[in-house]
Amino acid sequence: MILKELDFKSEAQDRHYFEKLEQEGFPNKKSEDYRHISLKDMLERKLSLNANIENNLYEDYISDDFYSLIFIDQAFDLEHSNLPSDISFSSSSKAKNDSKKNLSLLSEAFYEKDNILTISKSLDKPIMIINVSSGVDKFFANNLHIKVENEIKVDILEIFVSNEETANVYCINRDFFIENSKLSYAKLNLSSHKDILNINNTIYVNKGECTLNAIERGSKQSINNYDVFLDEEFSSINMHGIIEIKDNQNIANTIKIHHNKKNTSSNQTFKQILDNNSRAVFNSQITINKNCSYSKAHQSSQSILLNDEARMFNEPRMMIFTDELEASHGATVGSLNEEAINYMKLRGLSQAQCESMLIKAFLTEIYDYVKNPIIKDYIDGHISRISI
Amino acid sequence: MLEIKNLQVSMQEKKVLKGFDLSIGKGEVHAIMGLNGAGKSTLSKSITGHFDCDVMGGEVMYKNKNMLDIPPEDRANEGIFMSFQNPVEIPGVNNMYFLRSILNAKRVYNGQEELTSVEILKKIKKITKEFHINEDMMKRSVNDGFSGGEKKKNELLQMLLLEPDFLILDEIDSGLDIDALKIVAHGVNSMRSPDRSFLIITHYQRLLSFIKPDFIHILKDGKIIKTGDYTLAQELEDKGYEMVEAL
Repeated sequence: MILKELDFKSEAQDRHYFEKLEQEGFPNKKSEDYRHISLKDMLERKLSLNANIENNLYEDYISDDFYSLIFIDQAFDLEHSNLPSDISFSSSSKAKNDSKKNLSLLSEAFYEKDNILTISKSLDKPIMIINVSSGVDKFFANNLHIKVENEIKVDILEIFVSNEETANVYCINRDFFIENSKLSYAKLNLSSHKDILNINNTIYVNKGECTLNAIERGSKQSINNYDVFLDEEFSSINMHGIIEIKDNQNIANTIKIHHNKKNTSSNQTFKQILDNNSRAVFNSQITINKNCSYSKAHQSSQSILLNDEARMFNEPRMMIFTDELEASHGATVGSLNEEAINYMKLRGLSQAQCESMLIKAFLTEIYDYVKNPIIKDYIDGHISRISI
Repeated sequence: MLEIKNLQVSMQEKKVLKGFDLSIGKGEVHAIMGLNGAGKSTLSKSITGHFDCDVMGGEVMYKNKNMLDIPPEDRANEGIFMSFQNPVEIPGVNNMYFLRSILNAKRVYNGQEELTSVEILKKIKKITKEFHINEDMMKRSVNDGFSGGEKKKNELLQMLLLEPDFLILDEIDSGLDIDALKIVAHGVNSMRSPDRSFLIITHYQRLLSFIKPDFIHILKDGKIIKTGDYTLAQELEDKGYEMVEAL
C-alpha cells in the first residue's frame, strides 16, 4: 500500500480512527509542529502489512534482570514474555479515544486492540518492553497503555531494535496513566538506520511523578510526539533526552506539556550530538494555565554539531497564564571546545579519542538521570557495543 | 635533542616568529625570556602544534623527525610535553580516567602494552605522595574548578606520569604562591637527567632561581637577540626589560 492512497475497506483495522485521520489529513509543513519535519519518506514508501512472527532477535536483548514484555513486529508475544502475576496485562477490544490526533490516529487505525499494562504493586525488578522487527517495507502499528497506581514506584525500560538490513515504518502509541505513583521510564532506540519510527506518547500524571529518559541512536527518522497533562496538584514530569545521530538520520521531539493545576512541575533537558548531514528538531511548548500558581517549569535544549552540514532546529516555548511561578527556558547550539581538544591532543590523544571523551562528558549529566542500576547497566552495556 | 631552524610562524595573520633558530642538547635546560608579545608562547605552540599557529616555514627536528610534519598527538607521544600557562578546564571528563587514557595512549604509540587501572593508580599514588598532591583531584573533572595551584600540580602530575624527554614549561610560575612554586620546582628538578631537556618560558627571574637553566635567551620581535648563562637573568632582573629595548 501507499499510505497516501489508503484503502480503508480492505486494510484499515479500525474505521473510526481512519475516518478521523481522513478528515484531519496528515500533518504537513503548514502546521507549526511539522515545519521542520518531512513525512515524505514515511508516506511515499510502498509498504505492506504482513508481519513476520518468526523473529528471535529479542533473544539478544532479553535479560533475566528484568520482567519482560515482548512485541515481535507489532504483535504481543505471550510465549516469550515474562510478567509476574502481580501485573495485569490485557489485550482487549478498543475503547474510543477522541483525544487522539495526527499520527496517533494512524497507529490506532491499523491496530485493532488496546494493550493495557496495569501495575499496582511494587516489583522486585524492572520491566523491559522489547520491540523487535524484521523485514523490509512493512508497516507496523500498535499501542500500549501503561497504568501505574496505588502509591508505588516502577522502573520500565523500553527498547526498539531491528536488524541492520531492516527498513520498516512503525507508528505506535504509548499512553501513560500515573496515579499517586512514580514511574521512571527509559527508552532506548537502537533500531536500524533504515527504519522510520513514530512514537506518540500521551502522559497523564495525577499526583505523581513521571521521569522519562529517552536515548535515541537508531532509526533513519524518529518522530516522537509527547503530550503531557499534569492534572492534579503535586504532579511532575521530568524529561531527559540524549540524541546521538549521524549520516542522514533525522529526529524530531515535539513536546507539549500542560500544567493544569497549581503546584505542578516540569523539567526538560535534551542534549543533541549531530554529525554528518543529520538533523534534529526540539520543539517544546509548556503551557501553564490560569490558577496554576506555584508551579515550576524548566526547559533546556543543548546541542553540539560535529559537522557544518548538521542542522539543529530549536523551538523552546512557554505560554504562561498565571503569576507566582518559577520558570526558565533556553537553547544552545555549539561545537566541541577546540581548546579542550588541543589540550587533550597535546597529551597524546587522537582527535577521535578527544571527541569521544568530550561527547561522553557532555552527555553524562543525562545518563546520570537513569537511577535504576539494572537499567543503567543494561543501557551502558548496549550502547558501548554499538558505536554511532 | 631539539633543533629549530628558520622557524617562521604567523598567528591570526600576524608574523610572530621571523626565522627563529635554537638548538637544545640532551640534558640541557634553556630558558626563554622576553616582553609580552615577543613570541614566547607562539614558540611553544608551534613546537607542540597548536591549531592557531600558521607555520610558514622552517623545521623543528626532534629524534630525527620534523615535528612540523606530524600531528600534535604524535608529537606528544614522541615525548614532547608542554605544561600550560592556563591549563584548560574539561568538565565531565574524570581526571583519573584522563590520566589513564593519556598514559596508555603513549604506551600504545610506543608499542608497549597498556597498563591496568590498578597499575596506573599505583604510579599515581606514588607521585601524589612524594609531591604532596591532593588525591581528591583524581575524582574531579580535569582542571574543572581547580585553583591556580591545583592546576599547576595537575600539570606536574601529568608530566611525572608521562615521563617525557622534552619539556616545555610555559610560565608555570604564574598564579603560584611560593610554597606551591617550590613543590612544582621540586617536581621539575626531580626530572632533570642527562637524557631529558627543558625549555622554560618565563617573564621573571624568580622561577629560574628554583630551576637553574644552563642557557638563557632573550626573545624580541620573534628572534633571539641575546644568549647567556644564568647571570643574564639576574642582569635582566636588575636592569629590567629596558635593557632589551637597548639591544
